Amino acid sequence: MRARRPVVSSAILGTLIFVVAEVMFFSGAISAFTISRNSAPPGTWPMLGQPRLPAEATALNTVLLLLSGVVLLWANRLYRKSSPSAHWVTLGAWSFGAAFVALQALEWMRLLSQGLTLTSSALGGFFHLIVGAHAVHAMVALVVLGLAWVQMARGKVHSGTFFGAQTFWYFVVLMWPVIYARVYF
Amino acid sequence: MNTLVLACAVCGAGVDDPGSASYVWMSVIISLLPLLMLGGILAWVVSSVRAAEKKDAEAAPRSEP
Repeated sequence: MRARRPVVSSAILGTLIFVVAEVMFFSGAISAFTISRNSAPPGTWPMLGQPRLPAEATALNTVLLLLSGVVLLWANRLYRKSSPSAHWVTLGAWSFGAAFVALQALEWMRLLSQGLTLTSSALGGFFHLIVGAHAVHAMVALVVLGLAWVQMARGKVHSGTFFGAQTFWYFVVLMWPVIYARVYF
Repeated sequence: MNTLVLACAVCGAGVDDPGSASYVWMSVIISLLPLLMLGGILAWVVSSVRAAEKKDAEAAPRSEP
């Protein structure tokens, strides 16, 4: 009898199914936001007294996050070639991602101080729900990617762990431009 | 100041409502999105299995006549 072996990594497949559920969560939230914004009477969105979302400043954050995705792709290529520098490039990708989260936190604090809170308006509620949920995903993905990096640095990383962490990070990276385009403009 | 208050995100969506078009489009997107994603995963798994089977068949020793 032939021995059975997995053709597709369980870590990647499991992460992909999880990502499908998460994409639907964000799609539902973005859908409700879009309908609310388009249904608002003219001149009432955003509501009076609410700050304008800093689309220009967030563009820099967006570039950093996209850059982290590109650098992680590069790390993946090096890992497949068993290059000893793969873990340093992975650390670079992690750093860009951490910078994105830190800058987003600063932006949040500024908006909260300007009065855009979860209960201040529909815009505030949707903003904190959608962008906040993405930030939580980004932080969890950073932890997962960081654990994979520690294992890589020790030379003990399982390929499934690294590819699973990458899959989750690419979801965080690719979800953001959609959120940015829909919510900030 | 009079303020319009809606009970839910789509309560204001009517026939003449400017939000009705986005309601329809969002419904279409949300209906198709899971099918596309799960279909994509299924296609990837099937192609991976086929590629592995092809590789196994090429690596297997040919039987003597």
